[in-house]
Amino acid sequence: MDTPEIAAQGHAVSRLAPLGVTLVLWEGLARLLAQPAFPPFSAVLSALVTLVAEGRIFGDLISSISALALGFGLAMAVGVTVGALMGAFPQVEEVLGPYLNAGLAAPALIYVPILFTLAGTSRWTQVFTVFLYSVFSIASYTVAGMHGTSRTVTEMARAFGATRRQTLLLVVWPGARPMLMSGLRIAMAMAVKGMINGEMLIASTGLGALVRVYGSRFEIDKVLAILLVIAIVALSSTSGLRLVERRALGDALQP
Amino acid sequence: MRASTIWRAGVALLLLAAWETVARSAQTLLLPTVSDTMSALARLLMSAAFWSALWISHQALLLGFVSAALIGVPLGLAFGHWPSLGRWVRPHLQIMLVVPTAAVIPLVIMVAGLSLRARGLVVFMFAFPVIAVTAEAGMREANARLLEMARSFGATPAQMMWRVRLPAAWPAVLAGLRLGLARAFSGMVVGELVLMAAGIGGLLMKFQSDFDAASVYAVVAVVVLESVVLMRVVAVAEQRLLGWQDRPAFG
Amino acid sequence: MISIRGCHYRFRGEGDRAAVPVLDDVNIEVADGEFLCVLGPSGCGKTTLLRLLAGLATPTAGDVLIDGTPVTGPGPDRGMVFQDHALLPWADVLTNVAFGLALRNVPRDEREERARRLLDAVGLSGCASYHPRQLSGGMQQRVGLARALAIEPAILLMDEPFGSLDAQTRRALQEDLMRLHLAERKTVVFVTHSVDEAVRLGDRIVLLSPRPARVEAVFDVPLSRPRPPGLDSLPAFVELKRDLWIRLKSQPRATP
Repeated sequence: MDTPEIAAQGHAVSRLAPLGVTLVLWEGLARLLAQPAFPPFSAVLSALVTLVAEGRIFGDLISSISALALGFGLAMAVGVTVGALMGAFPQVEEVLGPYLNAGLAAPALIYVPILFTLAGTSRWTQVFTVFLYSVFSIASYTVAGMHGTSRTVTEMARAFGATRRQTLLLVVWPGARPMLMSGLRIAMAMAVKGMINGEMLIASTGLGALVRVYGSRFEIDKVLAILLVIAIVALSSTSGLRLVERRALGDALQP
Repeated sequence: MRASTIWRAGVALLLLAAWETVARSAQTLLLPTVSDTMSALARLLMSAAFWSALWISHQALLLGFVSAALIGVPLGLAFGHWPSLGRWVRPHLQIMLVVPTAAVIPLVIMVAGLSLRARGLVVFMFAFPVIAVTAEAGMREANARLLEMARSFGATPAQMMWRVRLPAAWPAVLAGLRLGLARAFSGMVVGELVLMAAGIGGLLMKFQSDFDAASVYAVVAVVVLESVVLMRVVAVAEQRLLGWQDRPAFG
Repeated sequence: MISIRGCHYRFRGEGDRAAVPVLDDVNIEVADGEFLCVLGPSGCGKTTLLRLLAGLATPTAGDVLIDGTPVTGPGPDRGMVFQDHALLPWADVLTNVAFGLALRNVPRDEREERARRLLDAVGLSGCASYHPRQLSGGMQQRVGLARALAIEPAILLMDEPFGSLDAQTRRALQEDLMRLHLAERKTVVFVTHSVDEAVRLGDRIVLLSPRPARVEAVFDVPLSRPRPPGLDSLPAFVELKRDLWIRLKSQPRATP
């Protein structure tokens, strides 16, 4: 009855059990086949331990995560602001809508060669790659959230004498926040992809660059070990956001 | 309506003017002017190399997307139909959705080399998870009331499948294919930029190493334009196919 | 002839939750051509009773017999009308009405012809090619009724079919249902929580107790069929309604 934690744990276990079985199958099958392209999971783990022991991976991890944080923070600031303006003013939406649509439709990696010509291999190329991967989603979820507030509710606010500004601040914006939060989660997954893809394409540091380097030497166990780290970054950044969301869906998320 | 068109055109012109001014005053090889980009675009569209590159790109897109659809839809429907099976597969698919697919490219190279097959495989890996996950959700969430109704009319299990479950899952399947195509397009670009220089991506890399910035911008413009048109066409097609719905489910 | 004899039913408990008794020794007989209303507080098990009759659930104990034969599953002798219509949203009205016939592989021409006839009967002649979402709630339920009638069942099972409609629409549908019943003399088991509706429609009314439901009382409705004009002010109508009200109100609150 009063054991939601235990229930949640049971849920987590039942969710992770399939992955455990897959890892066991992976280990067995890989040992059986003994293919260089398919190392057993234990080899991947020991490669990870070696990478961590050598300490090399930390510099790349920090470089990746700082680009991620910077790019995503920037995308949040711009995306939420532009999205809120578009949600509040139909004229702004009319004008900016096509650009938002194009940004949502086009694969963001295509801009990286242009970023490269502007910023070279500097960190800003990575930051802006992350930014471009996530900013359009954030803006579009913000707009959708603001449009999601039902007409009856806004009309109710008007009927109680709320000014347009009050309606926006007290009714439309709070109503938009749940949608915005789920948009941020989706955008975070995109941002991690941007981080890795951008690094794989041009960077000299970062997890993506490591994948590229080890990949070119066909050290697949190390590639998979880094993939494991990437998966952890991806999953923990999105669930970290979920945590923030739970804590802060009160008042902390004003733009 | 007309006023908004004027506004849109005005802002677009303003942006282009700003770009032109900055590019002219910067006087650098890295930032082409609008007029340079336009003429590069015209040159690009006239060249045979461009069209063959476009075709090479879309071979991989077609190969990867069609196989992702052919495998992902039935598999997703099966996972949704047998929830005990779905429970085991879903965590894997969800991880595949969140973790950057590009990072397994070294593996793809080892398995398929640098080939059309490899590019197709990248496209497949981009498109497959979302197609399967969405079809699974559509199948799993079949309306219990409709199933009971069909049962009360004596529907056999096969009739339930063909007349209720599959039609009910259809909007989700279409939504999954739409999302899958968008990701497949990403996969195509990633395949050509990260895996191997081929097709449009290869052309882009070549212009970049030639320091032909105007042509780089022109290629990017073509890719953005195509993705916009493609997504619009697919969205319209989806709405046509789902005429009975007010709007497609699964945003 | 429907016989429900000594029926018990419990929802299976899940995990550490205990099984919930829903029906407790229910006995009901329904004659051929009779219009029986099952009245009871919400959540008492009325719908469960109907699901037993439809063959969508089997009693934990006791028998459900139709013409002496135990019900083992859904059958073409029973047509069901659902509370929330349960129309296929992707199919047009004609296809929805013909659904039961299509399941039985009735040739297309024949089933569409029959579906059109029933659409006429429920007053929806012009709506064959609409989709359910384009219709009002009342029209949707007319489609649901036509779909049930299309398989030409001897028994019509109706689960609070007019519960979500506004008063005026509800009245119109009630009158159409009465007319159809009079013309075809099908056996109807009609579940409702509205006293007014039960008295307006039924030949007899079975009053169920709160969960677990047992038959608390059976009322004969002393009104002719078709109902006389000025029904609302007839003493027999008013008194029966009042009696039922008092019985319903004096029931203990349902245990959640």
